[in-house]
Amino acid sequence: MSEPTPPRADDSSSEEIPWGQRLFDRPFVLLVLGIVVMAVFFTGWGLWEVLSLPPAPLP
Amino acid sequence: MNAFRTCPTTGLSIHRDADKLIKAHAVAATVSLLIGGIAAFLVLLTRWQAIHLLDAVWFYRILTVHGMSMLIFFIIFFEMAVLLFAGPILLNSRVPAPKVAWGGFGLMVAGAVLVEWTMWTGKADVLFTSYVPLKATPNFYLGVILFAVGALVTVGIFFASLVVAKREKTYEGSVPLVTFGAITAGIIAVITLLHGAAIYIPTWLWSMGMMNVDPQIYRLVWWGLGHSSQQINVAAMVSIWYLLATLTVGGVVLNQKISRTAFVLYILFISMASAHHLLVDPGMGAAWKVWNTSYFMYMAVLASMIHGFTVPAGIELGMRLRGYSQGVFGWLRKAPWGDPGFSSMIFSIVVFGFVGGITGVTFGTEQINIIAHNSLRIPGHFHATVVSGTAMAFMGLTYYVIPLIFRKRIAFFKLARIQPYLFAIGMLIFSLSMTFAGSFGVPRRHWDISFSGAPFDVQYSPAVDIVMAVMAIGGLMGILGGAIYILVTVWSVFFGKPLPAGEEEKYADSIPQGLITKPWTQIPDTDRDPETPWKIGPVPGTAVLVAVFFLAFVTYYFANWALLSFVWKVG
Repeated sequence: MSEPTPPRADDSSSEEIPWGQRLFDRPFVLLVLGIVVMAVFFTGWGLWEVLSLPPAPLP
Repeated sequence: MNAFRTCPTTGLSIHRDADKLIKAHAVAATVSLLIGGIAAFLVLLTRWQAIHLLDAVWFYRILTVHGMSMLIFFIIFFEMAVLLFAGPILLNSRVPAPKVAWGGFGLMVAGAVLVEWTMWTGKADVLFTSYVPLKATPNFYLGVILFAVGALVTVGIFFASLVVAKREKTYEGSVPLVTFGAITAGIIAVITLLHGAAIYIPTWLWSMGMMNVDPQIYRLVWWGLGHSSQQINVAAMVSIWYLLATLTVGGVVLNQKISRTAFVLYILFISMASAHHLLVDPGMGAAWKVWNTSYFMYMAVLASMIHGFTVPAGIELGMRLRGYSQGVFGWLRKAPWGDPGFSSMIFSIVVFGFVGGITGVTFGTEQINIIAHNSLRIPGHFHATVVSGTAMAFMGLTYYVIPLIFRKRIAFFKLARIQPYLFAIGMLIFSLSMTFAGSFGVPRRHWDISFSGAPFDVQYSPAVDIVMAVMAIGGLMGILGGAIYILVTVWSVFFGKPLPAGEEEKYADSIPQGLITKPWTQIPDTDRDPETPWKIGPVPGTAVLVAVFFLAFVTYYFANWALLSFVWKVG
């Protein structure tokens, strides 16, 4: 038995979509931005802080 | 058999695989909640010094069980169900690669079972944070990795369903706001799980003696998983607020741009708040701490403030436009307080905001953190956010999921109606008591604050005994509320009577009122003047509540600076 197709929507209107909405409509762009910001400011910077600590040998 | 069924209540086209996967994840979430709840009961009766039920070894063991079962397994299983609802179902689409989705679920279950086994058999007494150099058996870390990989697979299926829905044009325009909130949760989940993989794989290898793990690096990367996992909860919870507002009272979205921008602020900035767990770590520089917990975290706090306004405002405006416009709070008085979905949502918003949010932002200030760190104020905060906030919202949604997805009537509906009140009041008392006790210096994660048998003497204020007893009473009320929720949901799903299509009105005594009145189908006239008094805008009730909130915030925040000044003399 062939897979029934889900319901389809009509085509959207030709009205220009604002750039902000076009950005928000791209989940993978948001995903990359979220990962990059976290990787740079929290993880990357934090690792640099820890790895650049001078060793503290016991007296 | 047709791959889709049409929901007789909402008219949505529901892919049968999505249906089954949601049910599976929801059941797994409830089982995890039960385990975590039993552990909560045992931990509570131990921290209540008058009872002091468990010995030290079992206390830390059961505390580990409680943390993992609640904060990871219960919440993430439920969130996967939310993603599968907000993706395929709300978009009238299908689950792509159902076998892969079931594989992800299987990995999650296998991982959870493995972790639970290692904890209960005493091989992982390392608490939720499992800080290196505390070492658990390798299977503990392996179990967490399997669970995380399974969750990542399910999140991948969610994102794939968005692509499929767009390609097959099953919706037009932008995705609904609830789906956008779920996308936010999914993105934060990816950030969380990537950090989880980055730290648990080396730690698993370290547990087998194959490599070293630096404790400070562990703390840094682990909290990229640890707090971010709770921010998945925040995004999912806020999405559920919008959904329940629509289902229960026909709440409107004031402004799509504002609400979606707030979710994007979460995506970009909320995960950095994890840095507040390292505020007292001497190895991290002040610039890193302030940048992440002040500049970035406050952008996420702004987002929460936005949702904290738009959700109640949407409820108020939706009700005013449907005629509930007497005075400032007539809409709130006339709201369906007997609908457990509505009451859960309101308690979730209020307790999360007033208690959880205010305390959390305050602790995120570096100087104030010094007087709060590792005290009972910390669990006081996160029980207000995760339990009274997120779990409460999930419970409210369940009362709609049972009739809509499981097509069952809710068993013991009178109990279900009071359950949100019992749970919310209990957890409020519990959280506030913990906050007070922590302010007196009572530590968290501590088996015996009387320090019996220790070579030194520690004296707390006599008020501490009373506060800890009140905490226990509140906690027992909350546990009872949680137990009622588990009884109602398990009985309804497995033994409950079916809800035949189109017969909702006939069974009004066993389903939430929103499924009978269907307020979302009554489109309000948004050009109509909502007839508000005081001329302070269309939502005066919400304006008053927000003003009260800001007053509470300012008071609490500056009271903490005053407390700090008592212990930290400057000049």
